[in-house]
Amino acid sequence: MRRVLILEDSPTQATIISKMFQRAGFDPVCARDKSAALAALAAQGFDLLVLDVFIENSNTLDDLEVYRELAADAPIAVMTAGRIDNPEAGADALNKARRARVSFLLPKPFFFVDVKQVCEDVEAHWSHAAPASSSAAQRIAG
Amino acid sequence: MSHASLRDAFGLSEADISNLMGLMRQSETLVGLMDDFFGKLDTRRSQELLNIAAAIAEAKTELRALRPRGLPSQGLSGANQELDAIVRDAEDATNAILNSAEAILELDPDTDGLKDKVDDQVMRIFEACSFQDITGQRVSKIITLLAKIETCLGDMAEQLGAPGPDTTPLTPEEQRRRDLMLNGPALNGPEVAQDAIDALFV
Repeated sequence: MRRVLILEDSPTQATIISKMFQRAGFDPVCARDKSAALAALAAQGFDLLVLDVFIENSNTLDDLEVYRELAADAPIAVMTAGRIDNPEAGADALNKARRARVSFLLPKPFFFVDVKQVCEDVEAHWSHAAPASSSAAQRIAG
Repeated sequence: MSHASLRDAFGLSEADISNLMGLMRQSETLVGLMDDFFGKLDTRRSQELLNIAAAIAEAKTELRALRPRGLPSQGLSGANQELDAIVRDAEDATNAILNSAEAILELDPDTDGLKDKVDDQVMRIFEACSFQDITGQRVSKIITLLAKIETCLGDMAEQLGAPGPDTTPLTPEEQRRRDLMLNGPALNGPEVAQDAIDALFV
């Protein structure tokens, strides 16, 4: 089963998103902040990273290189609802994520059909590459 | 006009003329006094009006000066729109959840692929719940605005010399009336002390 790391600081949103991935056949692991996400990445391999942009006062897009180092070949999906007090922040974040060549953009609210499509693309990605879960774990252990 | 002319023209005696002249001098003095009195009276009144006008202008300036420091432009109308959006999103989510729940209830237990059909409806319920994310941000925005309004009103009251909160102790009757007041559903805030609950049954 493909494993997905979900970085989301809202417990309610984390539940909703993880249930969608579960329904799509993935094994979700949720992290509420950057340190929990990095700890999860160090502990096990992931086939997909789903990262929320605005976590408390930080911007996850500033740390993409760190996530890429720990999960080298795993596709990254960036999700954001933007910021209601700054209407342009959401568009800025999605453009910044695209420029950083992330694999998927998920503007909130997204639906199960969107999650399902991402999961299908991730499955296709790994069918042409070595399984991430084992290779990532081996790389970290080495 | 000389005394002789007055005497010849009106047939007045010297005594009459003397009395008349005295009366005229008194009249002149009286007119002078009245002129002085009314002059002072008008000046005082006009000055009072000017003082009132200046006080109103000053208060208006102070009120105008408070706005840029406190309330953001379009703050209240923006908050109103956010509240409308919260109500609308909650209503949409509730309808979607109820529709899915009804769809599950109406499923025939012998239907082929029952599990998939139930799972599809449950996914719709999850999707409907995702409005919570943006609603949380909307509520935070309104709370921030209310805090700014509170600060702004406090500044305004201080500048206008408004009295602070009434700290007069309540009479036993007032206290009892307040204790019996219903405050609606409990918030997730300070717990109600058991003593306060007991007091309701006294």
